[in-house]
Amino acid sequence: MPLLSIEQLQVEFGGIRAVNQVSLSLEAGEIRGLIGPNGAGKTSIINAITGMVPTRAGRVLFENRDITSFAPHDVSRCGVGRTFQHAEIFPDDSVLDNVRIGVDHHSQVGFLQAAFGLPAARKAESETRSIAIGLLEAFALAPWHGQRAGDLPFGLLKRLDIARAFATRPKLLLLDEPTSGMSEAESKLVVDQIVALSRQYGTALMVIEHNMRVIMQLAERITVLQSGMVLFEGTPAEVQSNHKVIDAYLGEEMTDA
Amino acid sequence: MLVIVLAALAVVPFFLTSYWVYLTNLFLINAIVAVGLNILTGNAGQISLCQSSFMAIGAYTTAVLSARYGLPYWLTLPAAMAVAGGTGALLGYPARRLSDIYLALATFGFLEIFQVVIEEFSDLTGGVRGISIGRPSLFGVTLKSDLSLYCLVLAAAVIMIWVASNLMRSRFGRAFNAVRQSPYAAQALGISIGRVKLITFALSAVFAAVGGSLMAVVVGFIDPLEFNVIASLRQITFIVVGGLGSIAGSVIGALVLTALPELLRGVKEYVGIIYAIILLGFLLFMPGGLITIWAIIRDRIWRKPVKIEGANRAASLD
Repeated sequence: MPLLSIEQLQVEFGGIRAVNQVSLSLEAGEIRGLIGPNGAGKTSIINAITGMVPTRAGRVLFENRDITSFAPHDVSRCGVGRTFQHAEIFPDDSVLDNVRIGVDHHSQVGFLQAAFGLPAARKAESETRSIAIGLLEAFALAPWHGQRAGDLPFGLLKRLDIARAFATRPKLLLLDEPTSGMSEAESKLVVDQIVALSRQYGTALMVIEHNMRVIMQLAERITVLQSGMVLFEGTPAEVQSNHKVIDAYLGEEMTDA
Repeated sequence: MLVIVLAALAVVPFFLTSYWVYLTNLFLINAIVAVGLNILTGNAGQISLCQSSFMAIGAYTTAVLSARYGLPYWLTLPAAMAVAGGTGALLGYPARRLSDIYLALATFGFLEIFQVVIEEFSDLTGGVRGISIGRPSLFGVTLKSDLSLYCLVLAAAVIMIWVASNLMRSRFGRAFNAVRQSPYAAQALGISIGRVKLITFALSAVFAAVGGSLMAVVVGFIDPLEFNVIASLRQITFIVVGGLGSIAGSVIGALVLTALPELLRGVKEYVGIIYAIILLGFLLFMPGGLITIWAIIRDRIWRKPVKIEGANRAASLD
């Protein structure tokens, strides 16, 4: 049984078909790449899975459960996490609090326990803090834990977004261009940590990425999209040698690089 | 800082005339309401123009139960909190789908309806003529003196502020702030925006009801005019002037703006205009409110190291 399966998914914006009859499935713990030129529908697929845009047709099944019409927070509650292309962090909160909000996903602390600062709440609070600090350390963000998140440069915000998404310990994490705007060294650190954490938590990954070197190393399988449709699916080696993919996408990308 | 404030509040009233004790009571009541409103508006980012209706619910629940049914205060206060919390949640339910100007209009509508309700059920509420409330009794002891009444108000304020600060340091406070800053990211982390709206509306209503209930016994008389939209707007001024999203800011805002009308007695007819100027001035020149002054002083004294330089360096790890 696949962890996630998308069947004949269709997403439209004002008559424009952003995602057209896309079907794909993902096994538990798998690392999947999602590539394609701009406007191929990659982010729209993530938005559709997480319930942030309505689907026109098709189904999204997660652990055999139809989550197509779920609200975004319910999708998250099922164990599907995501990051954002432009790092949607909470700017006024501290870096630590950003990650703590992710860790809170599993908190059992009740309202009255929190309101009266009962021992159970305080104990949970210190556990939350140490888990969050651990994740900040993994992404080399610990020195800024007390800083207002909105004051950090973009590369750090991307790392924060990823750390926060892992904090919810998702079964499936959808990463939207995790290394964009990062230097080579920074992107290596991030990719290493993503792989390490996904192994540790058993998290399956679906990664949108424009950096071909990153995605070819990271992904076990890659789905290539073009104009909202699946062009090809295979191992990184198969993708790199496929003529359709080279003609449509990799060719220009390789000459760019 | 907190200790000094508490010590001052515990000692000072013994040296004040009863009028100043009364004013200090009003300040503490305003502070309770402002702290609750700030959680709703400053933290969760929801506008409400009907906080004074929740105050009215608190005030009238206490007034009706004690004046008409003779219940003691220690029973009417929890009743006031329960009724307001329930009404707040009821209002929060449709408000889940509204935001910004639509939410402002919906809450304004609720306020207007509630005014009419108070006036129409005059058998119970005294209608436009108002209703008188005797001195409160706690467990058989009637709080006759101004000072004993002050102790009740101070205790309530301390407890409510303590609860608010506990909540804001918990997962609930973090969720409230998350919804204000990025609804998308909040939802992606499993936070239900609808639930946060429901909880914060109910919570702020409970705070307002405690304020309203205390006001009923402190003033000894209430009428619907006390709880009109001007009162709601004044409460919004408290939190904007003090500092949105800050508990200390809410208290400071309530303090300054409770004292202000006293200082401006000579120019009473212009108080409304002065309020408007203060509100606009703070929105334009000090959007963080008075609390930012404290933050600046604190940073000067302890000289917090600014780490932005280091952040840039690490951003380019190579």
